[in-house]
Amino acid sequence: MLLIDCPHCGPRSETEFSYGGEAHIARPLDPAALSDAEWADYVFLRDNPKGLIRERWMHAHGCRRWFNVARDTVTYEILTVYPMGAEPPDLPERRYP
Amino acid sequence: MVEDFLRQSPLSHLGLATHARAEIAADDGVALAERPFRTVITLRGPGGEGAFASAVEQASGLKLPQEVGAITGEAEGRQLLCLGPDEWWLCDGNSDAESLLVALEDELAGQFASAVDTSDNWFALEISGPQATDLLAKACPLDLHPRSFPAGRCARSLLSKAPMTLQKLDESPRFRIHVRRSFADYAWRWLSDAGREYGVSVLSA
Amino acid sequence: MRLKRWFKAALHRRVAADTIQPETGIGRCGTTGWSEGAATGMNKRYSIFSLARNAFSRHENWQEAWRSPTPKPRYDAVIIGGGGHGLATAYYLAKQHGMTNIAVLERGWLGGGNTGRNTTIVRSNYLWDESAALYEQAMKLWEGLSRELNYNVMFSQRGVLNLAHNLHDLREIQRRVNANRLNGIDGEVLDAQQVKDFCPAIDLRAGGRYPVLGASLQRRGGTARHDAVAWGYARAADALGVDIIQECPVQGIRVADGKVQGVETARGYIETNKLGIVVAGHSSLLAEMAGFRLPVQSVPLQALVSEPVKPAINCVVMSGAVHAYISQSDKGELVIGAGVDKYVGYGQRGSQPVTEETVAAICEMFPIFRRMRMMRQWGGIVDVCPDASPIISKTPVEGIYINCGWGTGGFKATPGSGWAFAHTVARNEPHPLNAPFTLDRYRTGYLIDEHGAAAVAH
Ligand SMILES: Cc1cc2nc3c(=O)[nH]c(=O)nc-3n(C[C@H](O)[C@H](O)[C@H](O)COP(=O)(O)OP(=O)(O)OC[C@H]3O[C@@H](n4cnc5c(N)ncnc54)[C@H](O)[C@@H]3O)c2cc1C
Ligand SMILES: [Zn+2]
Repeated sequence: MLLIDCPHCGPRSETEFSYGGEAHIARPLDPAALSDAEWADYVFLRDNPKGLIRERWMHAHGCRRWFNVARDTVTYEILTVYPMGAEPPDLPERRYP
Repeated sequence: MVEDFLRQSPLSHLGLATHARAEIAADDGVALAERPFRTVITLRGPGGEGAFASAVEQASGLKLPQEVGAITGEAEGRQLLCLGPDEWWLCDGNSDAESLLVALEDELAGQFASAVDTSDNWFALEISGPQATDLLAKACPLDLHPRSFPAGRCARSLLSKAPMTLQKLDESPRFRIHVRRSFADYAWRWLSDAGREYGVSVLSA
Repeated sequence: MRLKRWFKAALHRRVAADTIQPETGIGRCGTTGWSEGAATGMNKRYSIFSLARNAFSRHENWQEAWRSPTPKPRYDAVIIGGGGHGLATAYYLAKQHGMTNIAVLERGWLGGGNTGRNTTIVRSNYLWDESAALYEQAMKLWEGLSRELNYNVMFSQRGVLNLAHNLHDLREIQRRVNANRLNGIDGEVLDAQQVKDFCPAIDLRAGGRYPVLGASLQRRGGTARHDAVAWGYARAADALGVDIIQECPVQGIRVADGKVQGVETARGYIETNKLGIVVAGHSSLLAEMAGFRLPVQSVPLQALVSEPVKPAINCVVMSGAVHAYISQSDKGELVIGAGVDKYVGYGQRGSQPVTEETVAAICEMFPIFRRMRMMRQWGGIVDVCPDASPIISKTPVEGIYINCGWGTGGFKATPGSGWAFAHTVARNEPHPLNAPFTLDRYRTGYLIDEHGAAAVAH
């Protein structure tokens, strides 16, 4: 179970949160200009790392705010929490075979 | 707004009044009491000590709490609960929502803010008694130890999967819970059932 | 005395305690010491006579089920992943397509991935034509599998119930049963009383909160023994000459001019022009080694088993609404499946709140199980596609084929998946059965949306 440190409410159980998947995906400014392949990549392709992931969470049953989390998908350690729109923090890459 | 004499508690079918008591029975560990018609006004606006905060203070007579989880006001009277960085509840046990709303709208005129009467969306109940914390801990993932959740704090969380807003009123301890009106029956029965091992008294509304 | 004999046998087979997973109790059934040059095709058939013969030597001289060869420098085809799907692929490559100079590379031990961790539900009552055809092909193969492999996979067609708890569920069930029948797949709609008659242990009121209003029943559905499926395919493939190489993780894939050249492994470089990737939760990692991306997310799915009891539940019961499913193993343990964790994860355990929710659901449906104690809980990493259907497809790299995205429900497809994937690898083109399950479908928009459409996604 994850204990997620909400920037507004402090550490809370994962059951209070909704998961938003990979962070930092920019919505294409002009979707109509994309090829089918580019659009499909935007809609369906997500990082699926065994190691460091940067992802979005929303405190659905708390303050109802979105924020970003950097997490290790193997140890489940939450490395840092940072606001929406912020640059991804510089963290050493983690990869497991 | 429904006329007062037409209003019904969502628990009216349980006939709680027939076995309600004034105080918790001596050998019971928890007491439950419904608080069906409380006023809740949902406020949205910018945090900080700006125009929004002073407008709310003008209309309600209470300082706008700035930290999520903080409460200003009196447990039995009017309260402001900070539930998010730009979201508050103005709660009141007695005064009618309409006059409060009018006052708020006057003060907030021209601001990028909103005040909405959500009273009929909510149903409140109170849990008290020596084992109130134990009972609540079965239903909710919050750390309820007085060290991290002392009297005078609030939090939104889950009550056995049902979204709730929780306040700790005092260290006796006594908690107040708001759940959506349609969850009233579920919440009540769930707590009554989970509290059986402690003994549950029903207090009059 | 008996214990001593058992101990000797255990040593012989190298089922050492330290290789047994603490969480799952999944043991390695590896083989070593089988001489390198041992001829293939030497597997003696299992039969009542071989059983009797071996009884004379106190069952100490059974031949190893498969060899443990040193990898050759080159194979005509290499399959990465020694789960059920990879082993079945190798078997059908050898059996149906005459490709015997092939190898299966497994990073750990056979069936140690999702194959040995799943709740073994087998059914073919999927909603859409494309899925129905694929899963029904698997069902037909299941029905003859023990004989085909000369290995008892304990396939038990005890019937699978999918419960309806509200009117919407009921309508969905009717729709699905109609669709199944049009596709020649058996299916029935039961009313509440018929559910009770079929599975007496169930509480129709289910705590009052999720009353059971009816169910769909696929009588041909049921369960199979998960490890036996991996072992049976391994033994049969080995007998046809396939090299099965355990403890051999693939660490890199060499590609030149858009064509596959070979794989780097912990046991050296292996050259090949045909590479099949069948690694479930690790699919994204292998795809990345080959230089392309997949639309899958890896999440833990968990299961748990109870202490063993006498037969109490005679079929498989699944409920999409409360999200739990249950059956009883031949050992007597209740086998309970849960939902997935909601976030990407490679930890083979599964989140505590999910366990709790599942157990609560089971207790509502089966109040008689409330006092059962749970013995083990574990997770497997499932690879979930956006449309909850698998990918059995060619890839952007020539000579690389991928079979993934089975998510929470690929065990039931094991024979069909291997069968269709072998065709794809051997012929360099998909079989009509798996032609719709391309990697390309996310670009063409031809999705096969089985999210909940076939009740619980398992
Ligand atoms: C808890 C649980 C319950 C389930 N219940 C059901 C059910 O009731 N019914 C059903 O139909 N399905 C069920 N499933 C799904 C089913 O288990 C899978 O879809 C199926 O077993 C996948 O088989 P596979 O052979 O593709 O994968 P796996 O058995 O996972 O095999 C993949 C193999 O690839 C290996 N590998 C990975 N990386 C490398 C590498 N770099 N080099 C070499 N080898 C590598 C792994 O070690 C692994 O052995 C369940 C899954 C889980 C986790
Ligand atoms: Zn929060």
